[in-house]
Amino acid sequence: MDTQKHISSAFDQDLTILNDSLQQLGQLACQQLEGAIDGLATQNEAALDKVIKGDAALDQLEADIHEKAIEVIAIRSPRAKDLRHVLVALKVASILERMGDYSRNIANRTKVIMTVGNENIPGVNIGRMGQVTEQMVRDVMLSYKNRDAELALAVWRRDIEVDHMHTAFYKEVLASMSRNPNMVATGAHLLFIAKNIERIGDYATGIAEQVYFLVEGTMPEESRPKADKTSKVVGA
Amino acid sequence: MDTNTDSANLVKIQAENVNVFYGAKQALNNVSIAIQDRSVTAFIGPSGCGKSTFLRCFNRMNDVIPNCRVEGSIIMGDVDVNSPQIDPVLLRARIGMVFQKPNPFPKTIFENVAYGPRIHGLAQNKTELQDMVEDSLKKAGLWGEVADRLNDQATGLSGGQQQRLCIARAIAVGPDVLLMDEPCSALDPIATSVIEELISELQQRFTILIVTHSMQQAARVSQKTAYFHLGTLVEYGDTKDVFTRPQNEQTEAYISGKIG
Repeated sequence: MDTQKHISSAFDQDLTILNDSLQQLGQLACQQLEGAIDGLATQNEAALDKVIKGDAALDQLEADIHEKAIEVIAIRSPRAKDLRHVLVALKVASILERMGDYSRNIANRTKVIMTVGNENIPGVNIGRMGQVTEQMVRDVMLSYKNRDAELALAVWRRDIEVDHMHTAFYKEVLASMSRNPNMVATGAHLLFIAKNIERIGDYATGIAEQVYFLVEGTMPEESRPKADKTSKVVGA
Repeated sequence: MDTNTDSANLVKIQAENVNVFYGAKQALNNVSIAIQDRSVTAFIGPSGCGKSTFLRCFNRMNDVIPNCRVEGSIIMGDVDVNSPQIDPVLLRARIGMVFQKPNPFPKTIFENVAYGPRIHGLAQNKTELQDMVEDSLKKAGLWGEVADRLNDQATGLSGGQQQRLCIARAIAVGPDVLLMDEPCSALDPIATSVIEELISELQQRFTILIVTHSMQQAARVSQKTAYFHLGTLVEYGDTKDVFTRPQNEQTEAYISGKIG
């Protein structure tokens, strides 16, 4: 947040509310992702249920941020950095809410996998992929908190790591499914779970772009490196 | 600081190193700016920043202020408006001015607009003068409201109508440039919207310089914005850039409501 205050203290308060609410939503999105990844690793039903129930809080917070942002635009007519602050809050809130949806979906699918009861879920990569993605979300929200465009860019570039892991995991699951027909149901859910994590990584880069825009007033000029090749995989 | 305009756009007025003193006090410091032809340029900044002082430089209105001294050049076409050879009266026909408070003469609507063309001898006969009055009132967006009462007293018009009458009076003498010093500050929001719409239409024919305290108004009506602070031109650029990505921290602070 800027240290220089507005003549209107109510304007400062409004922007502080938006800023704090967005950070709170970011923390919730991180917790939800962490809970989903842990629940997947430990197959802990209580933890998964907590994630599923917890999603409503993100939806509500996103709605609150939207309402506040519209109020600030209508009443305060924000300009320059203030306007970017409000627009970024709107956009990032939507992204974080979508991340929450993906975490909930991971939890739902994990519960289905648990009912199928496959002991040998292939690959350790999905756990690592989840941890890297979690760290990306944490770092990008830290970059928002500190208005750190460089950290945002670092997150933005790091997504390629998740893409590589996603492609590798995808092939691994396909191979497992082709070897063992009993793995098809579990494998299908795992592919979606992996895709959800990969999408959360993409969303983290979307937030990184917004943080960069907030700080610099422009979008990053370079092209974002991408390495998700799953759409080109033809078989195991 | 960008004091130049896009090469594709014609420069109408070039101000170079303009300094203005009120006695020993310097009100403007070395202001240089290129004003685009047929565009609206807004001067913004906190009270006392020099924006109105600078506006008055363009038609030598500072000449009438005791102890006021102007240095530097303001080139329009091939003449410097500050040149001693320039007749301020003729200059003010080329560079018209509209003030904060509507100031119609205590005469009829017709006479208010006819006054300028008459004293400058611009009409050959009565019909031509009538045409000039009608044309000016049409350009000022007032004709439809006053066509059937041209002989009524101008002071009987509403504030917004009076201000449009003053605009008609200014454009009746065929200026190239219109200076507007907070032209809407005495008007209600509806009358303000009408004047703002009129400014957008007038921009097709005239180069307009407007001083405004309303940043929203500057953002709505102008293509270029100049931000002044303590007598210095801090930033000058495309209005959309100044209001979304100002280059200077002082500009950012002012447009964000952090400097009063």
